[in-house]
Amino acid sequence: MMIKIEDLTYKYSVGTPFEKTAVDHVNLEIEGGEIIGVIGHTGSGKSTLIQHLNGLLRPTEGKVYINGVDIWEDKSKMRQVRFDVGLVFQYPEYQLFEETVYKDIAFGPRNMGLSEEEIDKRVHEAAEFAGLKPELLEKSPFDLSGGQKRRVAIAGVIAMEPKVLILDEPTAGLDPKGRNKILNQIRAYHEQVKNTILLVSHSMEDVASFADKVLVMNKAKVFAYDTVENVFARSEELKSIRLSVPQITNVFLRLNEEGYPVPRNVYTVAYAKRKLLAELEKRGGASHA
Amino acid sequence: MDQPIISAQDIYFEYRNEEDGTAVPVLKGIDLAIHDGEFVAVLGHNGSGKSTFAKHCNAILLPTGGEMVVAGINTKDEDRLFDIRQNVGMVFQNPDNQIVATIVEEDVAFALENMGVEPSEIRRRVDEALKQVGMYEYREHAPHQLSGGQKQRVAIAGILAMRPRCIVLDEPTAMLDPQGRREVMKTIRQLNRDFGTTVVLITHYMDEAAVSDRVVIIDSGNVLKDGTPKEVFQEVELLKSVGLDVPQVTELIYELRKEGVNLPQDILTEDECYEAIKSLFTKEGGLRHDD
Repeated sequence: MMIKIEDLTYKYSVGTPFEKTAVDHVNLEIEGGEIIGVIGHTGSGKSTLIQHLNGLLRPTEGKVYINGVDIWEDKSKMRQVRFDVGLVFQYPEYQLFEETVYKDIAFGPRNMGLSEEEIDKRVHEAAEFAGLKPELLEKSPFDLSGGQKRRVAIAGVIAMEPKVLILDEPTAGLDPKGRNKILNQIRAYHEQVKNTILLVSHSMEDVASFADKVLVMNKAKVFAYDTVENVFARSEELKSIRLSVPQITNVFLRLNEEGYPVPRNVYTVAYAKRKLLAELEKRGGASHA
Repeated sequence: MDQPIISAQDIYFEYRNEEDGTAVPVLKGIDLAIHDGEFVAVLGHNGSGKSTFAKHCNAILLPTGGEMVVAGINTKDEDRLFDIRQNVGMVFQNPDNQIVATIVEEDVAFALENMGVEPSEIRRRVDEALKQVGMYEYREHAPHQLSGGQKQRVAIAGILAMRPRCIVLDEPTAMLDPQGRREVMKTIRQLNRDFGTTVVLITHYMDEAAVSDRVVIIDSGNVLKDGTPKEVFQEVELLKSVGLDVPQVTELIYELRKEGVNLPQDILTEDECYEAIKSLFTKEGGLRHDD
């Protein structure tokens, strides 16, 4: 599913003294099947931009096309857009409301008018994708841990089988284990269904190790939209727009720039280890005991 | 040594499950003393009890067993609640939930006004607190115009204006962008180093804990580990086993050492990691790779 954003501008509080341009003439094309990391400082416009992708916000100017169709052209189609493009908000665990986990996950599919049989199938699949054990389905969502609640909320959107899944800071406030669990589940899900995923995050580590491409927003405009490698190579520029690069990337960029034989595109500890050991093996060959 | 500012003596805390009335234990006998001037990072996975512990530091919660003594006052002593809270201030995760006024300096003055401090003294303390967190030039702004990091620094100033001996911060950077995190961490370090304020920082970010003086790991309601960052972060396997992590640079060096590469074991910062890897390529013998 392809997303095309054409000359999109969004202004808050138009006509008041508080008028503010949150998204400023943005053009963007997202091909289907990729994981896109979305980064940008607070107030950069990234949340406003993603809320346009399923029609939660209407552009002040410009167009949003999903698979070539202008989503605001025919309002009767908006319902379908909302099913095709699923949005998981920040701290989604506060949006759980049903008596059981099962009912909460089933809420979206039920609204789609699916059969009970299909709903049941989807609830179980979505729960599995989100790493929730079947015995949790009959529990109250309010008895679960924070990480589990969040995965219930994500399952509720996955159950609608969106072709585009947008996650706004899915790991905020979680401990390292909870962070890894959610990201690994999402990756496994992506590999199986090959849909498009947009991951909004303040964690450069998460984006660098998880995404195929990175969209960088700055001051309501697109600062960069490129591969992980090309974006995080611009370490100094990222810092100047209130962002950062992962610790390990910083170390390797610095070594590379000073002429040491290490790659520049290092984002994870596992990769750094592999590359260094290979290099040491090569050089150490002669001095091996 | 002086009397500690925070002294947890075998404290227990449990709450009642609303449905079946059973007791759910959260803290299970925590012994911990924090002294004036320390910068202590408290780590633990979600549900470990670290935030519950933090709430005991200024009597938001009272222990169901054991004694919690803050600034020499037992937190059970209801009459002294004011004194306790004046000595130990608390900053929470979400800055939007902590700001009450429509102008920055009025927000910082809020507690002082409640305490009945003289207006001229309020003026002096508000200016001083805003300067300490680097927000003085924003004193007449509306809080909603500020970034997350700036709002969080205003919240810290509101606590500082009460001139506490100790400030407890419960995941103050969890909702901030990288620059906001840098600003808040810089402010916290300065408060501790330049003004001698005792800092207790609850966090999920290992790199933030790495810059403290002392790291306390809480797991299932107990103190699992207590030591300097260099000591604690060497226990990579232990930390991972309780759902935590170590800074990326520490983990890389640990992994390389496991493969027999000759490297120092107490790497905590980017600079140290950079120097250590550089030494592999420059020093004779550093290349030794024992199979």
